[in-house]
Amino acid sequence: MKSGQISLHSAALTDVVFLVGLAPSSFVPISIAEMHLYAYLANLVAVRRGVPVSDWGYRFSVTADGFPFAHDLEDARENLVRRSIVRVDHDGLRPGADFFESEIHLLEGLVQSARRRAWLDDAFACALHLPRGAVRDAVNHSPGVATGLRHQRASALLKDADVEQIYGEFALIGEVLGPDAEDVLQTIVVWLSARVVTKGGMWS
Amino acid sequence: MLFGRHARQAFGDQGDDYLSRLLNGVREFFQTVPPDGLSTTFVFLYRVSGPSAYELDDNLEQLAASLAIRDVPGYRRRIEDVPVLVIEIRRDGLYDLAATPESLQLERLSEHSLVFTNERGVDRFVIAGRSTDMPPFVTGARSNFAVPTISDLEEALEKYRREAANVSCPLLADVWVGGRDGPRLVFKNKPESTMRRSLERFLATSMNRNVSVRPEHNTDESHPVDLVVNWFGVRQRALIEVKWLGKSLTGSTDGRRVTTYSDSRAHEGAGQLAGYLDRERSTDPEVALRGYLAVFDGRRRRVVDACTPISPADAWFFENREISLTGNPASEQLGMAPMFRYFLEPGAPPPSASERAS
Repeated sequence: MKSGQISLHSAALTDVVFLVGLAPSSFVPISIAEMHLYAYLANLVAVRRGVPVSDWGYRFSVTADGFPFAHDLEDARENLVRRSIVRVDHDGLRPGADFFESEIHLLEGLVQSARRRAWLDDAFACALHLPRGAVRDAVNHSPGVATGLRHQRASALLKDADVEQIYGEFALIGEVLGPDAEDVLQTIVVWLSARVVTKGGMWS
Repeated sequence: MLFGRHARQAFGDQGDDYLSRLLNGVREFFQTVPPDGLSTTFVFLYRVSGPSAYELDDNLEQLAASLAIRDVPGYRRRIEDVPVLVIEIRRDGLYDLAATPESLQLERLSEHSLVFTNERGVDRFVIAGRSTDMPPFVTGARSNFAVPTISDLEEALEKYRREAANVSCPLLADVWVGGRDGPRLVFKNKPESTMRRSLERFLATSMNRNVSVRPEHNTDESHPVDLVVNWFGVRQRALIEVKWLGKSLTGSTDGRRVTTYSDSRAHEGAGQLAGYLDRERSTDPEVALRGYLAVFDGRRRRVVDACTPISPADAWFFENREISLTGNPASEQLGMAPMFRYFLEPGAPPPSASERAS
């Protein structure tokens, strides 16, 4: 979808407003790269909750540098910046003028936005449990992203084979966690942690 | 990563939310008061119910109440001085600060609060009497929830030692008369700016992405320090003063006129750095400061000129001769770290044991 043709309440636009408006204070301001990263993490949360990838509303790819990236999300961000609802400075994204409050209130009132907000809230909660930088590092080593990074070329994320592998990993974690596997946040945090720990427990 | 479960078991369905609030507060506080380089033990509380920490512990001295995070830097000096700092993260997002000279009864506190501590680099959760250490994910950082700042810088400064010693950095090759493959006895004229560029480039490329390294930072209109390091989103700054020891040509002509700097030059640098730190602290009191003296040591014994060979024992004489800065007014109190002395190896191979003894 091209800039300027965005539905006023598209999934991507909703996500940008929630990501900017609901980020925990210690994450503010989130950078553009983090905006894409946390949205992708929210998509993984939704996958863990059984939501088909095709229902997410837009697709992610991985850039040659290993960043999860969604064109629709970027278009939505530009649209919101152009309308002064979101502003961007050298530190990252922040709510813009008074329009932002009315926009987020409007979205919070919409039934279809409630699920997206829950997924994004969960993504932030997962990220709070890990060191800043670890989430990106872990995602870099996840199915799909790792392949793109290894070949240094952009490619689509959450393809069928990737999703199948991710489901398999969630299932494995579920066996280890037992009854606690019902806790989606815990599964995701363990899934992310394992990727950091298995490569030596450190990153640069 | 079972802290969420512990929190839910202790405080019901809201446990996850309380834990998120605690962790958000820990991160926010450490962004404002970077714990790197401090000996303070940090105890964070998110009180769910029951009496406050003050009611439970008579030894607590309240430092501040209902602080917004933007006001916390005003208490930095007090915070740095206390052995144990207790930070209560309130439901409204504000902070209460208290100090105590001794450790707290965390198990008792954890009956009513989620407790997170960071002591000597170890992160620990105490939830309903159960104490669990969190493994370190970030090498060298004081806490998993703090951005590595000073520790990251000091690690990079330490790594640079090898880079400088054998002139691995191509920039440094240019400071010697005769270049990297020459005898490395005498510096070219005014080598300091090249040394500074070499160190700047190394730090900028070897530290994590959220850092900026810039040259010639003015602490006031007439006193530029060689390098300044700032971290994105963290109120921490490091000043680095670069000095060199040894001999350098005073011109590029006959190679006979030289400037000689001995260890007194390092003392001079320490004094300068103390002044920079003092001025910077006055102009920007909300930023945590740390000062570093980086000394490029090219001293050789019995140098005749830039090209006449000297014995390996003389060339390597200063390799392990450290410079003591004790007694210098610049001290830990001003935030000055121990000096980094980079011995720049000569072209001659190291002396044998018998040559060293002679």
